[in-house]
Amino acid sequence: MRELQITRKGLIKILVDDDEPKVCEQVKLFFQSKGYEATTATNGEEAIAKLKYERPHLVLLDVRMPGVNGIEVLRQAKKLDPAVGVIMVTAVQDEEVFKEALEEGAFDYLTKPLNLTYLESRVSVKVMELLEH
Amino acid sequence: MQRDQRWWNHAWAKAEGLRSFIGVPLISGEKLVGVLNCLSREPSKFEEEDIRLMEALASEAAIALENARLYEGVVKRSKELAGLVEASRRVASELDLKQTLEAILDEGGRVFGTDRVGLWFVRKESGEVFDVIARGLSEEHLETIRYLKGKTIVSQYAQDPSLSQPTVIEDVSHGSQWEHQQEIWLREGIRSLVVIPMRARGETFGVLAFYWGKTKRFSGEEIALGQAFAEQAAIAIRNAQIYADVRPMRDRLETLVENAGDAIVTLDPEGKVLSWNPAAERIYGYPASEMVGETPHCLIPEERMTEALAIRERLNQGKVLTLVETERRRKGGETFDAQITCSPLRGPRGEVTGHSIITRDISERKKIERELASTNDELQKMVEELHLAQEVAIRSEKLASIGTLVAGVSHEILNPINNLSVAIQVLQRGIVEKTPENLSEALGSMQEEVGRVVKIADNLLEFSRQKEPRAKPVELPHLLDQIIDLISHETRLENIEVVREYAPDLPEVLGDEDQLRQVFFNLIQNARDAMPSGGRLVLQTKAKNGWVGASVQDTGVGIPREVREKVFDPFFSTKPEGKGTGLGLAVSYGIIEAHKGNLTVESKDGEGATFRVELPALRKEEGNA
Repeated sequence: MRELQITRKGLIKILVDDDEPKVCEQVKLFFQSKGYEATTATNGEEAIAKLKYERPHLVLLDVRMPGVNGIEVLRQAKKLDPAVGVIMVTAVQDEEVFKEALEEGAFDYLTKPLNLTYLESRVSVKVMELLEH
Repeated sequence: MQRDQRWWNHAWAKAEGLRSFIGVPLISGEKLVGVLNCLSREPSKFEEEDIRLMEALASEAAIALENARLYEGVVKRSKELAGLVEASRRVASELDLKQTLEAILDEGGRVFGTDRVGLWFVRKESGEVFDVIARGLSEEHLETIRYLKGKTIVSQYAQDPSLSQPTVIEDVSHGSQWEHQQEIWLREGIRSLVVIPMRARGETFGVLAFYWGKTKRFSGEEIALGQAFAEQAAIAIRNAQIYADVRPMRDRLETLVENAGDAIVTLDPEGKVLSWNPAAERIYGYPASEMVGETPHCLIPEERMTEALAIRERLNQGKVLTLVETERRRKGGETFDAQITCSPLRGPRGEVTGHSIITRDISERKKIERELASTNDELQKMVEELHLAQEVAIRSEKLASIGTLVAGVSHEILNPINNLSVAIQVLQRGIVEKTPENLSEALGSMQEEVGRVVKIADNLLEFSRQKEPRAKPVELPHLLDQIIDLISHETRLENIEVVREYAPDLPEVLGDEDQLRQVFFNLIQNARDAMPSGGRLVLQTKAKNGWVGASVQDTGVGIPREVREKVFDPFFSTKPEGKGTGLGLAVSYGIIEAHKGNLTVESKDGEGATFRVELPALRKEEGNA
């Protein structure tokens, strides 16, 4: 169980993980503008390290990455913190990957290009859940 | 009588006091058969009249006596003949050689009223006894005669083939040329004997000898009877020998017929079944019990009846028909392809006594022949279709590779699009302050993303362009680099270390660039697929003896031997359903072959694989022309 009591949005930390550094930066800027704390990783290994040491509450995870792929990162994230909220992102919708992601505990699955409005609404829902607990 | 000196010494005449005597001869034919006497105690008792009476009586008596004697002779002779006939019949009824010989001894002894009989078999020329079978003679005697070799009665017949008369010895102790055997006979208790040669084809092969323990007179009739019996015995022995010689052959033939895989049937001249072997039962379905004695019309289908009659006609002319292919009918009506061989059966004088018909069921063979023929037709058709399909396959395989490419490429297009989209949304929302510097930086970055998309599109177009096959000089290293560039958009290649080992100053090859690109694209894609968890992809080019070689080597799972043999077969794929067309390598092989080159594979299970393309090098002058 997470010890930290979440009381404010500002304490919600989101990890953005995509092998495209540009999009990571843009999305980080977007979340920061919405009052969240945001951090980035551009590959799976980096993401796992940040999950361990920065303990984000939410992760935006690209499925297809060199090295450790998104699904593997999701698995590790859930192992480290079963309460962590994970949204998977992929360029091409793939039924099998979608199913696998949900089974591994992702709470949503988005396709590129990202719609920031929709992304924020999905994140808000998860944040509400986290705040209620 | 007292005055007649012929009677003086006869004491009985004196004792009786006999004085008168009449004697008349009993004459039958020209032969004296006896004397009729009349005696009296009175002297000069008989008158002239008495003499005439006596003569008349003697004449009558002689006739009666002769009649009785003749009758006795006829009875005896007919008894002997009946005995001979019976004995001959018994002897001839045996087929087994041993039993025939036993019967000759038994019957011969019976006919001649002796229990001492010997059958001696001799060798031609040497006259040596090689076998003897006897009744009532000691082993010692038989051995002694054998020991005498060529010096016996027995052996003289063998040594002189013209000798056919029996040897008759009525008393062994009275002078004959066989005195040296006298001792031997007497020791055996033999006093008289008859030895009769047994002959076949003008040669004596043995003798039949009868022995008696007392001296004996033999009539010409008795001897003739013995000869007749010996003749029958000789025939019986020859028959038994022939039978013994023929029997194993007959047994073998019978076994052959019994176990033959073909139906073997014999018919009498009227066409009725004489024999019906087990294969005939099996092939035709009728048991022998139903067929023997029947005319087997039921075996011939109606439409083959005319043919069957023609065959019959030829058989009756004594002709042989070999391996005639026709049809026959089984019990139940099913017709089958049959191969028949018919030949006439002949009697001892060459006359036709029937026919043998051998039927082979060739329905299976025919069926296979028909199937083969139709399979061959199909194969021919398939080969033609294959030729047509080959060109189509090259094109469709190309489309299929485009298909797999599209999935990978979509990802790559969507990434820059995503970058653009997010950047635009960030700008729209005023998340970043719209200073000229920020805007310029953002637009520059967005332009880069557009450039990425354009480059991907260019590569795709290059790959998919439909062009007429056209030979032009191609630089293989350049081609390989292009392909690596194209597929490096796929992230999976990023786990793979690409090693280029290009030989300097590599000659160009003459070929269709698109087709060659398709080949190497395929080989590189396969190499990448073989290394799902990463590895080394080695691209190597080199020149040797007028050839240019380019190899694609991976460090993947390798190709097991049994798969290696099939990798170039069309539609052979080890990839999961829907992931591979099974045409990639087959089409590549076809393309390289069309370029007069070679495409080979080397691999060890678990140690990666190397696909090697060899193409004729383009000579400098060709390239310049």
